Amino acid sequence: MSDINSIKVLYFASLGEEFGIAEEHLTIPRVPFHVSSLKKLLSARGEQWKNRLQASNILCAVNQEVQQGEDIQLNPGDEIAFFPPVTGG
Amino acid sequence: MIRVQKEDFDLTAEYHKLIKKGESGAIVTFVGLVRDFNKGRVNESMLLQHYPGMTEKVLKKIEQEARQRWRLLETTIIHRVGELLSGDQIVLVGVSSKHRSDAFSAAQFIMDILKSEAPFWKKEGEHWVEAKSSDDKAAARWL
Repeated sequence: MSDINSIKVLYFASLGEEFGIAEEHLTIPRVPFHVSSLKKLLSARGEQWKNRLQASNILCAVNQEVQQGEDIQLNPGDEIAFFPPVTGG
Repeated sequence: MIRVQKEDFDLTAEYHKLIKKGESGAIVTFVGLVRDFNKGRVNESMLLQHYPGMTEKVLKKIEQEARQRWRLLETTIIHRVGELLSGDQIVLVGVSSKHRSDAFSAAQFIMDILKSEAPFWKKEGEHWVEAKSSDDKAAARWL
């Protein structure tokens, strides 16, 4: 599944359900690749992906830390998660 | 102490773990329960999803922050995941301290921040629960 240039991408709650996938490994190019690049790549999969990932309330965590912007650079081995606002407790 | 688990928890047992004999003067515990979310459809279950790894990290961070803000002796955060039914216990926050004000404030702080930051998601029947702005407001007052 995973090779040396791959990242792990996770989708939680309604996102995972709507996309029909909870986890995948993606190979990233050997050029600077950011969260914004990943969102663009995934958005090309269709309207549903685009609409959900571009929504302002969707959160992104890189290596289990929530990111405020989309300019953080991604490296092989990174774990990226997309999820809606949390509703525990 | 942080625990994320499928199993139920025993409030009395957790209460006793919070006591530091001779030092603890106050213990505050909070338990959150599953309410009926769909009238007429009895026993429809709720699903609680989490992000293994990150959830525990965030809970530890919240616990550490509470310990920096107040003088606490012991702290416990237990959150259940998986399938739950109406009336089931979801979450326990327990705090012990010398004096009551530290325990009251810390317990409220932990719950407020947990609700707005810890990666858990509730699904009631077929419907994922939407986040509430009142929960964000409750967390914001501690900033």
